[in-house]
Amino acid sequence: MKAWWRRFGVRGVFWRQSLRFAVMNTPIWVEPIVHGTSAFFFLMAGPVRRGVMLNLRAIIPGSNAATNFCRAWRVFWNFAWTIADAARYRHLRTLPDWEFVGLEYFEELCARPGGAIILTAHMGSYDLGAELFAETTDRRMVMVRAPEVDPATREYEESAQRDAGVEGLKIDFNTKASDLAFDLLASVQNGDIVAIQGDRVTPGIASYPATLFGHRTEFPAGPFALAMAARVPIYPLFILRTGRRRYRLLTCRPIEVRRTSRHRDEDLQNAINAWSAQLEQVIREGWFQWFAFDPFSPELAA
Amino acid sequence: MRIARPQAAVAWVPSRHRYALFRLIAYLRLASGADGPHGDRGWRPDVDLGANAIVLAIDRDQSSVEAYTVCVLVWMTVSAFFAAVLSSTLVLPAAIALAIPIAALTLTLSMVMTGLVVTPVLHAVGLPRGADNIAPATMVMLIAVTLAASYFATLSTWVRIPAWLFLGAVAFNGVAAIVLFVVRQRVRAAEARCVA
Repeated sequence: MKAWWRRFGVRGVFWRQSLRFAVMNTPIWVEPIVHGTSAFFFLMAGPVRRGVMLNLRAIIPGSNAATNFCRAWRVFWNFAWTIADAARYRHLRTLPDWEFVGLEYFEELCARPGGAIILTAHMGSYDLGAELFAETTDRRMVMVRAPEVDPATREYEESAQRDAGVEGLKIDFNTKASDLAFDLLASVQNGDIVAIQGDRVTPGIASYPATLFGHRTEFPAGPFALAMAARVPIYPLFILRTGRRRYRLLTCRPIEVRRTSRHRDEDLQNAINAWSAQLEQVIREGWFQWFAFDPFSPELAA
Repeated sequence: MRIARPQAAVAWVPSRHRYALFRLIAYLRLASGADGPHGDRGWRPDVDLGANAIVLAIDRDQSSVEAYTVCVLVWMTVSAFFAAVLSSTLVLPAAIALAIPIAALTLTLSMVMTGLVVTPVLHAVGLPRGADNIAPATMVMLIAVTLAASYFATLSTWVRIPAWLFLGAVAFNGVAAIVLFVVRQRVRAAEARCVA
């Protein structure tokens, strides 16, 4: 793809710039109408839409294509609001309302003396949640995220993050497992909280097999290996959008990844199975905001 | 970051609303305690705090009811204007069906044009720059709709009804702004009781 045209691709920088423009210029009463433009992307982005529909077929057994088409629209609608809220926070520092569920685990996470790992999914707003966490606690957070594919988009995002950086929040990109592993281990041992998305494997990252909604899939091995090496718990934590400018921070019972036998893989597999069960439960209740735009299992794509 | 104390009826903090009419309604609810211990949209902070805590942000654009009410009012008003224009060549039901998406498209494009052209010109002639352009964009777009409503209100066809409704809402908002100005000390005191 030619460079000038690449900026208009799905992952192109033009859309990020447009989002910033919209956030800076849209009166509140035009917002719902502007969000209607997500219908354009919904209709144009065929492969992405089909990916969501395939996932929905697995999440909601017995569902038909026509209903899942409408459900997929709801996923796009939620995604549009979520990225707008994240952009609004980044550029204008406008916070939404928050509801905390599993507060006892959240407080435990904030109060524990050593480091910890937050394992989350592509649900609601990962960025918003991490920035809220960094602003409301005195804990330092290291947020791991997949790098942008498009170089111009990557440059734009990194520049925006530099400009609107939140104190106590560091963002690392997981390009290669070996690049980050030692840094993250040092961070956790230093008492930092490391946040990782554990529902999608980036190419080049080590993974472990798992089952989600009865289908074979893979989860990143990194968070579990890191928890075992650093001897810290994993807190499953989800940011769920519950309405206009309203989010729920759901913190679940921590998963302990302990070495109990000579078989390291078995111990890791137990933790991955616990994560899989937790993730499945949360997605089942909040399928409309699981932003997995590719089929989560090769069985679904076949 | 300003955070409202969850035990108060913070959903009705006037600062969580943008337009005077909604700010006044919020103040009246807050002052009368009509909302009781219940929070916004089903939240019951006094009951749920043990298991769930809430953090309500103090931001002028936080009220969903306000955002959607004004959205529907403006969208339907502009749709009525387009329907009136189109009805000279189409039958009324077809004109209305066509006018609704045209109005949505027009409002979206107006936002883009206001952001790209109008507000830079306003800044160039001396309008102070803020963190964003939302206030000038709102002002420009609402003035445009008000001017259009003033024109359509003078016609003798059905379109004068939505035009007058819109103008009436603008007038009510103006009156509410005056009332709020008069009771501004009391509003501040009421807010101070429930905003951290």
